[in-house]
Parts: sequence; C-alpha cells; structure tokens
Amino acid sequence: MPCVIKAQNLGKVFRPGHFTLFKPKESITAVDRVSFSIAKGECFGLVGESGCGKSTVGRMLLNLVDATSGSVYFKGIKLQGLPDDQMHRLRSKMHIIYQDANNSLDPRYSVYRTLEEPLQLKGISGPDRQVKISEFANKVGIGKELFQRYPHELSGGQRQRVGIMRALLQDPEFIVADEPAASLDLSVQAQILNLLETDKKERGTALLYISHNLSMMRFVSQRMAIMYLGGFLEFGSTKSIFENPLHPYTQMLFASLLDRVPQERKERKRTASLPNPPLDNGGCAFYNRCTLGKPFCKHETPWLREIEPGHEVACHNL
Amino acid sequence: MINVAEAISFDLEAGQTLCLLGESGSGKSLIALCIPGLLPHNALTGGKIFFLGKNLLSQTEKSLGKIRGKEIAMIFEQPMGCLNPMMPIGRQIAEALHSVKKVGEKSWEIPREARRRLDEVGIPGHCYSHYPHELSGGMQQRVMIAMALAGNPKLLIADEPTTALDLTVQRQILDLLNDLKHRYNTALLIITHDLGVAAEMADTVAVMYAGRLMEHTPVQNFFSRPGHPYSRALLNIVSGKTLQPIPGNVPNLMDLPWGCPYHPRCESAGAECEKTFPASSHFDHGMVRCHNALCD
Amino acid sequence: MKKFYAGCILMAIVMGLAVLAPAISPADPYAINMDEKLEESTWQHPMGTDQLGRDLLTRVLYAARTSFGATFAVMVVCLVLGTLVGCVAGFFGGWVDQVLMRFVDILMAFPSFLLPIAMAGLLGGSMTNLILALSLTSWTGYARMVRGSVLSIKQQLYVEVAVVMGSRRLTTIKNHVIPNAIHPLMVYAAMHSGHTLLAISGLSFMGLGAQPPTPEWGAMLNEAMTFMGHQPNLFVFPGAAIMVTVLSFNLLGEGLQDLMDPKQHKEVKV
Repeated sequence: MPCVIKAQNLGKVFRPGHFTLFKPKESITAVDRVSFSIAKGECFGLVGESGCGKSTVGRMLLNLVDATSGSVYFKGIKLQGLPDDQMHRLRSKMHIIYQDANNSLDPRYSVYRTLEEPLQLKGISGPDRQVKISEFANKVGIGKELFQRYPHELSGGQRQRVGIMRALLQDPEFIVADEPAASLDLSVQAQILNLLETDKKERGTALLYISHNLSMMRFVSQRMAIMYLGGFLEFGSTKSIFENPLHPYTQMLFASLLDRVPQERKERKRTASLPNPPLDNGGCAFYNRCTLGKPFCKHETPWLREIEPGHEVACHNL
Repeated sequence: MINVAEAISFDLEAGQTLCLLGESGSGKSLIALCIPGLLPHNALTGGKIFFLGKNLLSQTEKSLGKIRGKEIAMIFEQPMGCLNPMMPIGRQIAEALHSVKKVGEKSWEIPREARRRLDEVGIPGHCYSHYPHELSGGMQQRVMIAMALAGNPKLLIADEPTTALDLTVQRQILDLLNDLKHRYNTALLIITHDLGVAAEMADTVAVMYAGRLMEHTPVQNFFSRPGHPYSRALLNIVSGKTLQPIPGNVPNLMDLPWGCPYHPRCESAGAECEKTFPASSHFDHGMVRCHNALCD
Repeated sequence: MKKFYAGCILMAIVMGLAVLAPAISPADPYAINMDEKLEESTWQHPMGTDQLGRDLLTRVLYAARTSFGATFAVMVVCLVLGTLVGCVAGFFGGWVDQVLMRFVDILMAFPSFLLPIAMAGLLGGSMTNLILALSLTSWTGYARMVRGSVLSIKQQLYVEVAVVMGSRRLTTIKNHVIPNAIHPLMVYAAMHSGHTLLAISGLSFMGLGAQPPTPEWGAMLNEAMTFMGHQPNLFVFPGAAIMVTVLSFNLLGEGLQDLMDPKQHKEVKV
C-alpha cells in the first residue's frame, strides 16, 4: 500500500521563550526521535498518557508545529522547509479532529457556516456547497434542524460530529484524530469511531488515531505505538501488542485497564504515583517506574528492536 | 418546566458502593447534587431522601449546612476547578479540617492532622506547601478526596471521579477510594458512565436513562445477566470484534417519547412500550423497569 | 437585557435630538437678543435664555451635535487606529509586536490631560485640536485591548483548524479573529466614550475646546458659572444633558457586556 505520511526521526525540544532572572528554565524534550509511516486506508494508533508528546507528534505531521529535528514526508514531499504557497496547496489534503469540540468550533458561526468554510476555502460555489453539505450530513448523522444552531446549543456528541464532518468535507487524504471521542459516552464514542472507520474504508483516508484509551485501539487501529515521555516504547501491529504486550510500561497500561469481570478483583500491585519525572539525558525514560530496571538502563537509551515479526520494543531486558 | 428525573428509588448501606450508571443526559449528576441539597433554586424536588433516618428534603438550609461536608461529602470530575489556586494544598486541607472541627478538638493539632491525611491518600509530605497547579491531575484528585474525608463522612458522593484522568492514575484513585471505604466504613455513591469503573467498584449498579431508573441490581447480576435491554446494549458495545453502538441518540429531556423513553432504540420494544412507562418488577434482590425484561 | 435596552433607547433619544436639532429647535442658537437675556422658562423659551438672550433649549440641542460629534470622532479614530495596531501586534507577534507595544507604552506614559492643554497652548483652542489630542492619548487603550483579545483568540483551536483547512493569514484574521474580538471591543468603546464625553466637556469648560459662540455643554457650564445665582437654568440643563448622555453610554456598555455572557454559559451537566 502506498505510504501517505511518513515521519522520520522527528524531534521537538521546547526551549524557554524568555530569560528568567533567578533560575534558568530547562528545555523540555517533547518528542524524541520518532519514526513511523501510515499507508493509504490504514489507521495508526498512538497511545500514551497525558504529557507524553502524542499531540505534539500529531501537530508536527501537519506542520503546525516546527520540528526541531527530523522530517515529515507527505506522499514523498518533505514538509519541513516547504515554501508557504506549496504548503498551502497541501493543506486541504490533511486535516485534524480535536477532542475539545467546544473550542474547535467558532462560537460565532452557526453549524452551517462552520461546515461551509472548508468548501469555501476549496473554491466550491454556493449551490454546490449546499448539495455536498446535505449529502454528508445524512451520512454523519447531523439533522438539518441543527444547521442554524450555534455550538453552545449542541450536545458534546453533536459538536464532535460537526467537527468530524468539517474534516471530511474537504476529502482529505490524511486525518489526525487527537482524542476525538475522549469526553463522550461509550455509545457515542462507538458511533464516531465507526464513522471514521467507514470513511477510511470508502475513501482510503490514512488516519492517525491519538488516544490515552488503550482498550479502544483494538477496534480502531491496525498498527500502533505506545509513547512515553516523547519516545516510542513499543511499536507494531495492534494484534500482536494486544496478544503479547512486551514492554513493562505497556504491561502496566494493560494491567490498569478496568476489568469487566467483577468477581475477579485481584489484589493489584500498587505503583508509586510520581509527579512527571524529568527526561534524563541518556538512559531509559521509564527507568524511574520500571520493575525490571537495572543500573545499566539508567545510562543507555534503549532503541526499538524487533522481538517478534512486526513487533518492536525499546527495552534492554528483553 | 422540564421533568428531569422521575421515580428514583434506591438505598445504600454503610460500607457499600452504589454505582449510578448512565450516559450524558440521563440525570445522574442531578441526583448526586440533589442529595446534599445543591440543586439550583428553580429546581423542584418531590419525594423523600432518608439519610440516617432524617429526611434531607425537609431540612432547613442551616441543618443541611451542618450535614454537608461533615456527614455527606462530595468530589467532582475536575479537581482543579474545586481547589483554590492561590492556596497551598496543605492549608486547604487544614481549612477543611477546621470547618469540621468538633467541640473540644484543639486547633493547633490541625496541621499535623492535615499532614496525616495527605499521607493517607498517598501524597508525599513535601507537597504540603505546593500549589494545586504544581500537582498532576491524579494528585489533585487525591487532595480532593482528603478534603472530602476531613469530616469522616458517612456518605461520599463521587461524580465521575476518574473520567478526566489517565489509565494508570485512574486505577490508583479507585484503589484509594476502595481502601478508604473499607477503613472508615463509608458508603460510596459513584456517578459514572464507565462500565469498567462500575465493575471495579460497585456492590450494586443502578442504571439511569432519560431521568428514569431502569435497573437496580447487584453488580454480578448486571454483568452476567442484565435484565434491561439498555443494560444489555451497553455491555454489547465493546464486547464483540467490532464496535456495536446503540442506534439512535439519547433523547432530549424536553422532548421524551411516550411510554418507555428507551423504546425507540430498544431491540425488544413491543406495542406496550410505546404506551406506558413500565412499573418496577423485583427479582433476585434487584429491580428492573421493562415490559419485556429477562428475569429469572 | 434591560440595561442594554435602556442604554439603546436613551442613546437613540440623544442621537435623535442631536440629529434633528436644526428641525426642532425653536430659535437660532447664535441669535443674540439682549432684551430677553437671563429669562425664566416660558413657552417661547422652554429652558429660558442665556446671558446674551439666546434660547437655551436651542443651544443645548445644538451642543449635543458638537459634543456627540466630537465623542464619535474620537471613538472612530481610536477604533480604527487601535484595532489596526492591536491586530497586527497580536497576530504577527515577534519583533513587530515588541516594537508596536513599546511605542504604545511610551504614548501611554504621557499624561492624558497635558496633551490637549499643550496643543491648545501651541495651536490655539478648537474642537479639532481637542479631538486630535484626545484621540492620540486614547487609542493606546484600544490597541492594548485588541492585542489581548487577539492573543487569546489566536490560541483557540478553531483558528488552528482554519489554518489546517488552508485559510491564509489575512483570511483567518478577517473570518475568525476580528468577529470574535469585536464584542469586547464594542463594550470597551461604549464605556470609553462616556469618559471621552466627560473629558471633552471638562476641557471645553477650561476653554481648550469649543470656542464661543459654538454651543458645547462644557463651555456652556463655564459661562453659567458667572450667573449661578441669577439663573440656575444655565448650568442645570447642560449639566443634566451631559449626565444623561454619559449614562446612556455606560448603560449601553454594561448591557453589551451582560449580553456577551450567556453565550459562554456553562451547560448544566446532566
């Protein structure tokens, strides 16, 4: 399958923007040498807890955030350093869906106006816009009676649907879905994920699905990566990761998933709750919380190695 | 006038956990606010809420104020919104302890007690002088729990306590709640839309839909032999190889269908369902409101 | 809502009277008639006459045009200049922002009453000079306000989405930033105009603005000082006119502010 988007050694370091009088602020490595690619019609899942840098990766793929190192290729075209008007031409081919539909819709635009904007930017005429919006609205599940409403008059699920429809209207080839269903009820989550899945199958859109909800990944993505403090700890097909999670962090995540079987409330090992540990220069980022940690892990950064076919792990102890 | 909730009845004993399960728009948060009398002024409540023998709905604001925070405590989804950003957390706990201080207890012992409480919820001592924004979401929720338990309440109401938290932190907070529940024999009322939380924490599960209580049953029953079609549909969503959402949407409370509010989306709906709202039928220590419930 | 409507109605009345002044005034505001000076209210002169026999009602109505007109002129200049500078500084950021804001800081440090006095001293007192001076010292507040709004709007996700969809910078500013920045700006403009009117009246009172015989409420108050004992009408009516007009600006501003809030109302979680 042809590759739609490719990230190669992406890195992002945030440096403090101003001079502080008493204590020089340290720079934060948000993303550390991340590489992966997404093919046409494929969904790639990015799982991690808050602060791990997954949203930053999503934004870098759309060139919304400048990469400090590494590059992003969209269908072979390198995005970093691309002149403005060429980048502008690629813009309508890539889109983003946010978790916070509240903030991603202009509060002064009615639903119809919000949906018109992407078509206007593509240069589609008025009557054509109307036709296309009506067609899509049926598919996405937005009734015509919602068209004149404003975002604050819609429910969370409806807002999210409007956000998704806005993304789909431009027929993008690549969509970054940044926790699109996080704050929604399970049934609405399921409907939205099915919607994305249908669109992906019909039009072959490449999808980057970012979430902290590990359990939903098996329904959504074909391949996935587990991210921690800016780096990939585990990477491979969703099936093999779910059947056999190898990295201690991945195992910890799976152990944290709440069981649906109430009888088996086992005594679980309590992991210490630490405030965000700093990323050391060199050494495994997970060392502080790892049960398998050896002194060696503190100094040598592990890199992704293939343990099983299609399943890579970054750990010294496997 | 909108009828937001109707015919809700349940009971909860000391040391037990009841999970009020429902989607957005089901009225579960309003029930939670109703118990300690935190509904807005234009809310009309009917019926009775018996707390340790007293009917809360007939209490004056003054006597409710004495119960709130001391015997009934509440924690919410977004801890950052409930913590004073200008005050170190140690002082906030001390303030909570101070407000529930009984006659005869010494004020100068409060800081020490505050540290003990922080320790109890797993926050290291050096965080006593930290400000809320310096803590992670999980730590903030722990502070909330410590403040809520300041008065050793008999009932703790938790409104979506872990929805905003990461997976690993969620697990820790739920373990903490369970721990504290056992230690102090507190009754726990958890409001959530997450079935996993219910499975993990609940002794009994009460399912709400469009402001009505549809099912109230022990947790094992709920997961193995749910009586109500809605409960079954909820459990089915993620149980197969593909996602199976419940068709349709949660109804607008201002525009409920006739009869049973769930019937437009129900796979077992019959003619009777469109006409009358089902009465509760009791079976196996549980209750279901359905014309076509699967009961043994 | 009530404040907004009250403000609107009051403002409409004042504006209406100002616009229709030539049509509804009983006399010529400049017609001197020494026989009828300092008279009480009569049917012919509903508010009486001033020290030169001119009809007071007519002068109060015509003064509305002067004062109102000047206030609007200041508001328009400040709006245009302030919005332009604030938008450019806020949206483009970086050194453009720094340079513009330092310039604004310097201007803001200038005492706002000294400039009109200085200008009047150098160039002579006139309404034009007054408008110019007041605009120069007030536009900085608007610029700061707009810059603040733009900075916060810039961070909103819907602006980022517009960029993702292929919206060019200027289009994004036109479509999303300005419409969302306008409401707080309108509130600020309404409230600020009340202050401007007071400043215009105050400075005209001191002789730095409207020159006789141009009718202007502040200048009329000055003239009334000498005749306070004889004919209180001379300061009661112009003073009341100032008060009512400033009140209408304030009501309008506060009403607009209240109107904005329901949109950001949190929905009750059910």
